[in-house]
Amino acid sequence: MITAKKSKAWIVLIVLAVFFLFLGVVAGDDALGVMMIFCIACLVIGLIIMAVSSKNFKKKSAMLAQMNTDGTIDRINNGIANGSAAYYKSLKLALTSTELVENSNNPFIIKYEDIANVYRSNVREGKYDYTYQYIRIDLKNGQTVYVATVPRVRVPAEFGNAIGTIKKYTSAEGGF
Amino acid sequence: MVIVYGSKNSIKIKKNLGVNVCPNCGMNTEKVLAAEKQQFTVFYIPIFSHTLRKGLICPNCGMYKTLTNAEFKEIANN
Repeated sequence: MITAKKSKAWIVLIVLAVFFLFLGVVAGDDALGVMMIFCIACLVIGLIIMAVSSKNFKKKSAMLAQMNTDGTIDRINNGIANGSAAYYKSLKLALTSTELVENSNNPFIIKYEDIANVYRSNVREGKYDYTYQYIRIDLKNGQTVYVATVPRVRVPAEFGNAIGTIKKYTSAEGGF
Repeated sequence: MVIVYGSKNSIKIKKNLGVNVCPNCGMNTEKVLAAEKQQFTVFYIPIFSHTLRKGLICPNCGMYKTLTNAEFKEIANN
């Protein structure tokens, strides 16, 4: 579903901070100092992640609300629910029969009729990327968009399926 | 004592093979014969390197066509 979700990673770090504090208290004076350092480090990182995820959630919610003024997002979510649209969770990508939606922190919609070329790419902005692989979309207006960023060593099976589906719909919509 | 170690990848281009149509991106680009190397570093200083793979790369999309050592040498020498 195309929705804004808050990251829960900060909860794990806060639990870890409490765990280190508990360990320090149980172990006594010898280990308390070291455990306090771990506890504070986890607490600080947890709070930073919480603040960043909260900020991203608000930003994404606002962007989705703006995109949904004509009911586009509701229509796509209904399509995903009834099976007429595909949602690739690991790629954060939704594909309907007329457009694709990138569901990252900066969500956007691309219509298939605007696409000139689609392929998998290891090169981003002219530089070879040793870590990630992308679906590169060349638009008819000359712009280049990268979606579905995945680690190069663990490319999910959905990646190839998504490229195939985009190519199929794009050629049907007169994209290329 | 903290030891900072890691690895760094790099591509060494051996030869330009002229303009070809890439089967992945469909662009007319100059394909290159290259080897991808991985360097093991300690305190950001490369200690040793080993070849991860050798093959033909499209500079536009980065698609690799992996070659065997014999194929790589043959293309490099031609």
